Amino acid sequence: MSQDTLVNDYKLLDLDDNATVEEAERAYHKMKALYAEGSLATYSLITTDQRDEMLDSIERAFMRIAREIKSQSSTPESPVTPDNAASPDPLKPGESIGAYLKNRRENLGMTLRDVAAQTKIRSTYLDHIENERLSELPAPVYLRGFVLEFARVLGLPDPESFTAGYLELIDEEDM
Amino acid sequence: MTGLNPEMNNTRPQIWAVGGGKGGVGKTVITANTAISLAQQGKRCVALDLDLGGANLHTILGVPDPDRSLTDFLNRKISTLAEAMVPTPYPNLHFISGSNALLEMANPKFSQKEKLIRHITSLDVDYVLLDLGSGSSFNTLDFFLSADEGVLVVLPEPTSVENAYHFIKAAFYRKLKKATKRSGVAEAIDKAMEEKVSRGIQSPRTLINSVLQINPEAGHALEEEARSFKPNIIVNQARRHDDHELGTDIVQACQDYFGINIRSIGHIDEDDSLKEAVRLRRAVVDAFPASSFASAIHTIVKNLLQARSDQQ
Repeated sequence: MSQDTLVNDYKLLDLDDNATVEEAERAYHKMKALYAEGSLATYSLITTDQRDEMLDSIERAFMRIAREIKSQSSTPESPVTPDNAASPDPLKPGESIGAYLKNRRENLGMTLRDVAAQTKIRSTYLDHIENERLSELPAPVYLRGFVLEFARVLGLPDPESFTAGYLELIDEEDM
Repeated sequence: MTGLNPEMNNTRPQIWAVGGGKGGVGKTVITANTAISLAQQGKRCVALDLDLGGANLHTILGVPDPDRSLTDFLNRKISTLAEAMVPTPYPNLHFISGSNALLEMANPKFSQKEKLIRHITSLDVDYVLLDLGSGSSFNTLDFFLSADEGVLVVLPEPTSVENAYHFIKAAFYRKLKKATKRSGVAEAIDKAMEEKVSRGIQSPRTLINSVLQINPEAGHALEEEARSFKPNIIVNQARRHDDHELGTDIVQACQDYFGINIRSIGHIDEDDSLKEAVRLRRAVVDAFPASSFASAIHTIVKNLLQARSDQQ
């Protein structure tokens, strides 16, 4: 990776050259929250395309920085960082979709509060989503956004279809 | 304070202007209380009502309908702005009513505005607080830009945030436009703006980059202007913990998308003592000194004073 790109990556996440993995992670989560869909500070500032582009840049910048920091550190097994973690195993047939979310979250070492802070979704709702407490969940129109954000923060490969899958759960229940 | 009085190095008063796109965001209440907080610290202050639509700074300050105003100055009934100053119930704090003046001044001649700004800067006080109207009219922007510290008030709601961005952009372009009078930068800006519109790009940063390509010298002049543009932002009526971060979020977003450095100088939580104070016709920092509103105002004043001394 060219030095030039890396310099911009650090600039994008507002990090010092000697930032630790933890600092990088914090900056990454902060930026993701700032440019998340529905973020009050950027909602009216940028177009959807600009937002997607920004989130993409943040994602890539963080991955490169995390790789860089890891390669410099002497310990071969640095702590797992969210999007640098092995890509999640796909949902197994028969596995509960809520439990899948919970597993993924715990594998990333994130608490419900961490996710709440990033998604701006109350942790009680996140807990209901993980435990599929269908009667406690908000109306599907809100739920869709909640699950989508949740899936994004956990770095699931295809948040949209994951969310669609989750919403099917409710449809089934209704029948 | 550690003896760092900006006014000691400076014979002219420091001007702080409070604005912020939308109406009803609390500009007037914040202006009044900021002025009183400064006055309580022994600074000689004047609060000047420049709110075109709803001038009610006098009510918050507890001044009965003043018999002198800006109108008299602009109509030359009085020869200096200082004569329009009336005392307030607060020691060290005077008030200048703008009430009717600005309705007539909706489109003041450039020379009139310059004269007013000149008179403001020659008032024999330490601080002048300007309560600007809502919106981003050239008048409001010019007074905002003429101030030593421009303060934007924003509420944690999408429309207010949107207006704040609009205001920041409008003020920034206005500043660039004014700066270009002395060099050949104007053409480059106009050219870049034209391209911008056709390409649909809306960011000061891209504007400067396009100007840099068209005319590097002009581009550098603009970069210099951009560096000296440092408005302050306050989040008012914060309700949730997230709202406290809105200020720094806006700072970050402005840096990322506009290439403009703004400064977050504090947040004010929703506070019932505000309504109570208005009912008593007293200012919160005076009537309820222990309220969260009062301590937020003192913090804001401290941060603004700090900002000045950092620059000197």
